[in-house]
Amino acid sequence: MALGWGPGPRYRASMRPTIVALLGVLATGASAARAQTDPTRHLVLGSVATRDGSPVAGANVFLLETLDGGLTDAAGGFGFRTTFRGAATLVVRRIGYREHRQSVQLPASEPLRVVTEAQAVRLPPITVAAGKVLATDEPDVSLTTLTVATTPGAAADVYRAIQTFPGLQTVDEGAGLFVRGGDVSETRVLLDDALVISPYKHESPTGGFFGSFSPFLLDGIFFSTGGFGARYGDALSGVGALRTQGRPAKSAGGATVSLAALSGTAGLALPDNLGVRATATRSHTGLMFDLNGTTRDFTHVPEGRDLSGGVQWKYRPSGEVRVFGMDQWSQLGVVLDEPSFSGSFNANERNDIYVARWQDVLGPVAPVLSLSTAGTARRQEFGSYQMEIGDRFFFGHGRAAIALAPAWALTVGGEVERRRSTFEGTVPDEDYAVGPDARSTVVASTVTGTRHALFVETGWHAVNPVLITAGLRTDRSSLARTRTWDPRVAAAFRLFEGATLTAAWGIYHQVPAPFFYEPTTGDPALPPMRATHWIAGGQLERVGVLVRLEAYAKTYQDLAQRRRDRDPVGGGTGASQGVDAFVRVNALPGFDLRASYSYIHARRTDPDAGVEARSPFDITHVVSVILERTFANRWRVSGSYRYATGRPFTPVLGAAFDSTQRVFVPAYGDPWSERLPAFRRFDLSGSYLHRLWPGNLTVLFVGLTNAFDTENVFGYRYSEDYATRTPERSQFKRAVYFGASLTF
Amino acid sequence: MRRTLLLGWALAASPLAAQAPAGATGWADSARREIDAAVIRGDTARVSQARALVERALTLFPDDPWLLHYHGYALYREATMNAARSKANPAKLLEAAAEALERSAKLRPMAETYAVWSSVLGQQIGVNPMLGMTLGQRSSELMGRAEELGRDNPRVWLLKGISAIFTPETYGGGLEQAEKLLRRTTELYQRDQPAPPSPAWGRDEAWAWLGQVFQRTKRPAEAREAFDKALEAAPENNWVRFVLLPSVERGLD
Repeated sequence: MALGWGPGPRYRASMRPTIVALLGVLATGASAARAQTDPTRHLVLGSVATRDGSPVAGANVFLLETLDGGLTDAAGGFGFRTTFRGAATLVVRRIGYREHRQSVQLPASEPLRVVTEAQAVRLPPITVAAGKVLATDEPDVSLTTLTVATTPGAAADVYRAIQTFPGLQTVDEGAGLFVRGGDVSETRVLLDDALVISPYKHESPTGGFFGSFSPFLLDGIFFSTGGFGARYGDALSGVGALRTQGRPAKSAGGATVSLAALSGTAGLALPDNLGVRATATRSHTGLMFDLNGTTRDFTHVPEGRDLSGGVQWKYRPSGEVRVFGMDQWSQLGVVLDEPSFSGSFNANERNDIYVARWQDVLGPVAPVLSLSTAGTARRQEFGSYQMEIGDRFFFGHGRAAIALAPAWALTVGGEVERRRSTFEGTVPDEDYAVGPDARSTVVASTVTGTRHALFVETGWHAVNPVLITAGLRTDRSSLARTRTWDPRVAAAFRLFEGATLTAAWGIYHQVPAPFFYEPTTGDPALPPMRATHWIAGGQLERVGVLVRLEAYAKTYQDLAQRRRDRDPVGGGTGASQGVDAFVRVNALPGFDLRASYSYIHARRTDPDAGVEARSPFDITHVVSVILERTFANRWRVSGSYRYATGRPFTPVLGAAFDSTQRVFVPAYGDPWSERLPAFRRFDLSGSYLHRLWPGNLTVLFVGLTNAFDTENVFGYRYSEDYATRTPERSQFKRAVYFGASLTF
Repeated sequence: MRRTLLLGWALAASPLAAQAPAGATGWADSARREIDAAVIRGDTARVSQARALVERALTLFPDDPWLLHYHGYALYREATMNAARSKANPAKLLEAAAEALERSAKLRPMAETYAVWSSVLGQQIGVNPMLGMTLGQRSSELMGRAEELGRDNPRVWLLKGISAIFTPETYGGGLEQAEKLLRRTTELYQRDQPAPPSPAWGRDEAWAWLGQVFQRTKRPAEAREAFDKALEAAPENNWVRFVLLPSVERGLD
């Protein structure tokens, strides 16, 4: 070797960067050529890397004594010539890294190795907030599309991916978002600041089987499990704020074909910063169930169709108008075995939402205005329960953030909504007699309600490491006929770089769903429900590691619930206390580990017994571990393991025969006093990226749900006389799912 | 006093002191010439090398206003050129540029420092429009200060002219206003003879941007004339040679 070093086995691995660096030195022109022939000058070679071995490109490496130096290349290698000989100080500087100084003896006998540590140039604004599921660099983005798409077992569903974070209880295998002991209806979903009234597909009492929005329609997902600010109203427990995609960077199209769906998408980047997007999806689960089998007896396998599209116009760097529309249809029929009746539950629903949103920055004021309408037409039938529900919702949201001083911002805003719900059909009078001939009540009514709200919120960086947010909102609903006042306060204190303590307190109100106010079976006197949140926690973030711990307490007042016979009961109380923990480790190249644990103790008034009992959503322990491995930027393999304490249920102790209706009337034990067996599931997923032609990206994906075919139980089926009960196995047997997606 | 003595000792003891007779000013002038040459050629790597050169000098002269100015200016150029090539998010470079220019301005108020600082804030707003709430007003104030310090400084006029191209008419910008500012800029450059290490960049850019205004207002002949003048000022301006001039010639054909 001309350099005079023997490239032994240990050194061979780092030869490439140093050769690249050397070539850089050789290529610097005539002066370099002269330097090379100058016998007094010698070459200083080496490499710069982080502690985990990742190369640091663009680092400024130089000798303090002469300022001779150079920049590292993409592989972290450097090389420069100097006349200096003897003891010297090598300095390494790069934006985002701590300055590193190292004593060296020149000329060096072997390449120099420098290990440097990442460091923020300046402490970024505090973005960590109590209740936020994940902190990232961006202030209002907590989940990415990729995270959703690659979460094993989530079936590329936004809500199912959110369920893998702490603070959410696994009540069943649906997409329902049960937050910190709250019912699924206590979590509100917003799309571009518009309230979504039908956030689920194939809706059920526990939410729905899937979320309404494909992750590929979204470019930002924020989720809060509590302590959220005053701009979010009419939500007792959680808020999911989704943002639709902006203007496409270039015109492109794509298609996805999988075992259960076919979809096509197109995006046009038009002149004058105008963009158009459109997506169509047809889903049908028949083939998937034929291949994998199912524990359910479907009379009509779940199927659906989505059409969505939008226009985005970025009329100046800070100003943007987005219009988004979506129309969805879905249908299913599944046999349900009730002691009094066995038959098909049929559901057919159609949902739409149209949102127009404008935002800009005008001097020190950043206004946002969102106008939307959403509708639902749903028909459900099972025995004597026959119901057609129509819903039309108009919503307006406006706010303006005003920078009063560099460290002080004020946000003021308001909301107006109008909702018209129609109910037509029959409802069985008793829960134990639901057959077609059972006694039932005819419902034919319309409920119309309006709600308006005003809110103000201020964020103040009291001193550099402290952020205090205080807000107040007031709501008045024509259904609840009461004005509510909700003060909310949150604080974040940065102990040192990467370590933040958080706390939040607030009062939250939510108006019960319109069906509670239905004049035939409802109660028009129900007041708004109320919850109070207390949250305290901390987050520690180091290079490649994030640890978050949060404790909370929540109390409920004026809960509106339905008894088994569907009669509404107001005045319920309750409380939840728990701890949520989250760890993310991505320090090793190619590996990403996410683990979350939630502990909860939740109680609330049982509407049938009239006493406070264990909450139906008291899932004491929930554990989720996801490990992802990426190979050569093409292969991605991930596995997830989930554990949850069994769901509480109220046991049936016996039954008496009612000769009038010719059905058995069950006698219930203590409310929610028993639990189903614990839930365990292991899922796997993998994907492979390939470029078939320039500009194309083809993704092949495969998923194996419930890889160990664990028999999870999600309920009991009783015999006609309630003498025996048999476990109802979840519908997720071991199932394989695969498909391909390509863009062009 | 103690700090001055220590610095004096450090300079005397350093081999660099012997190599750089002009001290910080000499390094600043070297950096200036290197940055200007790199910018004219559109050579991002060379701008990075020049920025690295200033950073090295700053380890010995941490409070030198000229070096701080050129550090901020090089970072600004690097961020702008990287953003144009979609190479990386320029937020951190711009943040560091603003910090360096602020320190320079406190030590030695100079028209170019305030003008570039104002443009840096404008770029930061471009990256994250929400910053406009707090930085928009500040950017205007800084440009106002630049105008106070250099009423006939062509680089201040040039940055104002470029800004006008991208600002809607309703907010005081527009192509008509940009043309007015850039024409004045080219006039001011005729008698611009800054002494080293003062900034001397922009003569070719003034014509290049004015030519683009002509292009946008459908005046290709005037645009070509302006681009020719840009090349007269800096024959190695690759942006004009390989991008702007061919584009206007294609239009004329």
